[in-house]
Amino acid sequence: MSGQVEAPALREAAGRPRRAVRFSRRQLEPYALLAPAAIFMTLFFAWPAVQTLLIAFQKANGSWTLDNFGAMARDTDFRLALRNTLLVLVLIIPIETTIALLMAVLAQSRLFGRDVMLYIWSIPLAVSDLAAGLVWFSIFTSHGYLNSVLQDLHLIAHPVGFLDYNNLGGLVTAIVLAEVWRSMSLVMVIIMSGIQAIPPELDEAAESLGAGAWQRFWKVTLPLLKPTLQVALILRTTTAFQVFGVVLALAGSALPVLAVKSESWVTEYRNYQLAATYAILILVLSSLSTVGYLLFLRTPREVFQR
Amino acid sequence: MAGITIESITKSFAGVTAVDNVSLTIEDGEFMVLLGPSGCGKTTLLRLIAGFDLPDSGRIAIGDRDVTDSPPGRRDIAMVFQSYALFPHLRVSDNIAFGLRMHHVGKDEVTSRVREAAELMGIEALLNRYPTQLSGGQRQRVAVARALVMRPSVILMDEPLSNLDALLRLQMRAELKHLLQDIKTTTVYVTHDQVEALSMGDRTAVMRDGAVLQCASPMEVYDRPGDIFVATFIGNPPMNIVRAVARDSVVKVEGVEVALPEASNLPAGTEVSIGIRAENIEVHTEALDGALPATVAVIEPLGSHLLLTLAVGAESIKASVRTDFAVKRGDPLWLELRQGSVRLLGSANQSGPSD
Repeated sequence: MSGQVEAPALREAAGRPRRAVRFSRRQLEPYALLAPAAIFMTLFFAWPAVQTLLIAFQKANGSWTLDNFGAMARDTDFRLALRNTLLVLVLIIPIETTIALLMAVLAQSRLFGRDVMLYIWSIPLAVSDLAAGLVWFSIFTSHGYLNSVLQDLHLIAHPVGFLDYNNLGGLVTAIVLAEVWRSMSLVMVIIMSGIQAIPPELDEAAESLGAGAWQRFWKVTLPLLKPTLQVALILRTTTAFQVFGVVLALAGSALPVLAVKSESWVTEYRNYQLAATYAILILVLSSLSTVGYLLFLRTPREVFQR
Repeated sequence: MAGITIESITKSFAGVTAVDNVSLTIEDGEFMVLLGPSGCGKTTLLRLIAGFDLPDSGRIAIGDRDVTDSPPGRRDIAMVFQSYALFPHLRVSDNIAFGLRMHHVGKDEVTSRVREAAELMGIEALLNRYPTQLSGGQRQRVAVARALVMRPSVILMDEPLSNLDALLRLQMRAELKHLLQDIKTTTVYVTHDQVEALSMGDRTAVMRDGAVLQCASPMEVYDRPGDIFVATFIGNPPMNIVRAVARDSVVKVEGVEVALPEASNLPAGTEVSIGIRAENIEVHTEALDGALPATVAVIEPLGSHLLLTLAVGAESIKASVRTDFAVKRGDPLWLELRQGSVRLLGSANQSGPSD
């Protein structure tokens, strides 16, 4: 068992003499093409992120401190916000991943009407989170569609307060539904691209070796989708920690979550330090979840190198 | 172990007929090669036997079991794919064991059968590797082992050697033939390579446009092609096709009478095409009775022999001669078509498909 996959190209590259350091247009071209995106990302993502990080470690007068983290922990809604965020997240991620996986498999099948299904399923891709929240608000509110339908069917006598501030179950259900509806098409698109990258002969090989549809899904499709699922899960968990628009539209401040807390410390109390500290907490949690996915959904390097 | 009976199978995709009313009987233990150019329907026919596609009409039986509507997993077949289709996330041993586990074979038996198949293919040392860590030839062996371990009634192979480099292909060709002769499992082998078809198969079915044009032993297909297409598709160089005029058991080529091996029953004066292999042409440097006068147009030294392209009137004929044959471009030569090797390949009123 000798290592047979060494690259012989290194020697060649090393032996090439260095030319003068004048860049040709051709060499600059890729950087020029990358520049607009790089500038945009720097100005609107990297720079604010660095600023947020700095503010979280500063007092209002600009001197350095770690007090903001203590203040956040003592904030009345802090534990509630953390609990709600995690609760919503552990419900959303498995539900939407399962549904998206099912949709992607159905969309790849040769079922009748799959093109129509695909178009309908893709609609939520174009809906912003606040708009999605408002759509579901109009369904769940006391005078919303759901109450009207239930009353017309004489299933209930009076409107049910699904979104009442003390109806935790109703609020969480509505938020999870809205968020799953909004983002499952994104997960579906990611998974579909992963499924399409699996050579169809693998499925046929498994079929000819006696594997049924269910076994082929578990033993072939799913393991080969692991890298794709890893990407989808990292992306969605990161964004689920930031869940905001949907919560704002459906619950307002009745169900505090981390991102809404961060926003309210800015807009209501002008406390940028505490807002930044909440933002940093979201960043830390997202990073930890990403590291977790990278570790637990690791694929042996040998499997996918070609 | 079982033979395969294919009865009047037709399959079309989006209005294009890929397999057109094909009937074929493959004997138990036989090595059948499906040969033809790309798009001739050979792979579709193989996929119909495997059950990946279902025929529009016709029946397929493996042994005495009608499998026309059975899914691939219930046909007692094993397939070797052109791309090998090894599961990249499974080690070699798990790849080979996959089918056995799907059939709930006991753990100990899986281990021993995997080992046995690996030994047969000489890949015992690779059992712990992933497919990406293997060379093309090693992947090929794993794919064959994964099929053999199932002890299927029928092994189906779809261009299994076409992804290997030339030297390895030559080696694997002999090895596969040896192996499949030993285990005596009915094999259907698809290829577009006529050398593979000739060298490996017990019989070769030459296909074109969804139909089987001729199904016979390799030597028969080579020596007595059923029509002009088969004659020109098989052999390197392809069989010489020459226009001639029939008269009893004699045809006239460019004014010279040539004897046919059997009487033709063609009305005198019918225009026909005759075929003759390059190696069945005797080349003379002096005029001879019944020989066709020719002029040397091209001389190609091919190592073992010289291939001459000769102008005979309006016709172009290829003939092979020994390397010590002294000849140069423009030389006049006389061609004697060897007795009994001239084939009648169709007349104007019963023309072959490529006319």
